[in-house]
Amino acid sequence: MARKLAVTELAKMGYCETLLVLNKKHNNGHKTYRDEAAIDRGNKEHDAFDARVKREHAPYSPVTDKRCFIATSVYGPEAIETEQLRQWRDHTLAHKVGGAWLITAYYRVSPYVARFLDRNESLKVFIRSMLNLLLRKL
Amino acid sequence: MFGADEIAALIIVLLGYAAFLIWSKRRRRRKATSFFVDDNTPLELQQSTLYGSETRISCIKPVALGGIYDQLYQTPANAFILTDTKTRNKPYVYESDLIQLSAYKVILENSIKFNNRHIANYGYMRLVCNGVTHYKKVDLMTEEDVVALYERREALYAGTTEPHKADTPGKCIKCHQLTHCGGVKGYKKRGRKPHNSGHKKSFSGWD
Repeated sequence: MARKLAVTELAKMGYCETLLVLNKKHNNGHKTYRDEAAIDRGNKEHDAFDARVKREHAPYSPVTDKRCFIATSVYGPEAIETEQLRQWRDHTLAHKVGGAWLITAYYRVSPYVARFLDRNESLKVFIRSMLNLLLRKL
Repeated sequence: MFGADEIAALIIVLLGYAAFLIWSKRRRRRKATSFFVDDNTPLELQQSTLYGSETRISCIKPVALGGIYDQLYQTPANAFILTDTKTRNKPYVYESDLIQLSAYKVILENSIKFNNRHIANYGYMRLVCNGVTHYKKVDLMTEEDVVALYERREALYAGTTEPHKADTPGKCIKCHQLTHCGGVKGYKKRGRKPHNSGHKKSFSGWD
């Protein structure tokens, strides 16, 4: 199997090709104390930002439960809106106090509601407009 | 079934729960806003979720590449945006930065774990200059360009292609390989400045 090339090594092509070839030829990846200090400063910044962004930014968690009966009935199973509602369910609602209980209760009721919606087009339009409002708020 | 009192109690509970959700969302948003303001984060990234941070990735096809991307965000419209952090004295974006971000895009789009999802054709360089953060939006290279660059590098190392010299003389100033290379055209070795340099020429037009 071919050895994987580090992206940072490929990026050096953008600086100076001659330097890249000469460094290999003379086996000289020369680093001054200033280079070392700059690398150290960069690493510290990376670590600090990594810790902060993970703490402060809304985390991603993959959608584990593909069910969402009412949204599927209204928008379709692969629609962006359905996916957004699933993500809201998994990222936000599931982590709230009582959120898990509410999701469980929703899944008890929603298959019947979805079946009813499939037979009633005008109600589906109404529910879609309600869900659109909710999506705008998310 | 239910009496009027029970229905009223249920409505009150639901309203209370909705109020709690709105309050907790606002609280979280207020806390996050100060972080985004401090960091000058673009609105697009503020509204996105963090998909991954400092994550090791690799691919075998179209070329064998590996690395650790800094951050990958997923926008509400399901687009993925790459960012890369650099600490510098000035907020400039260099060609090497574009290559790095573009190579991460190629790896992600071809890695099995990422499930063939599409990465945006642009990314952000997060440049930290003397404590101030700047975000620069950059257009990424195509997969063909990255593969061509990889193959050119292989050819350079094999000695079948002649390397280009640096595109600006400034890159030669502190280069430790200058003795072997000689510098680019227009490069002059820094030494003591001539006596008159930096001053206006003495005017001698009256004579």
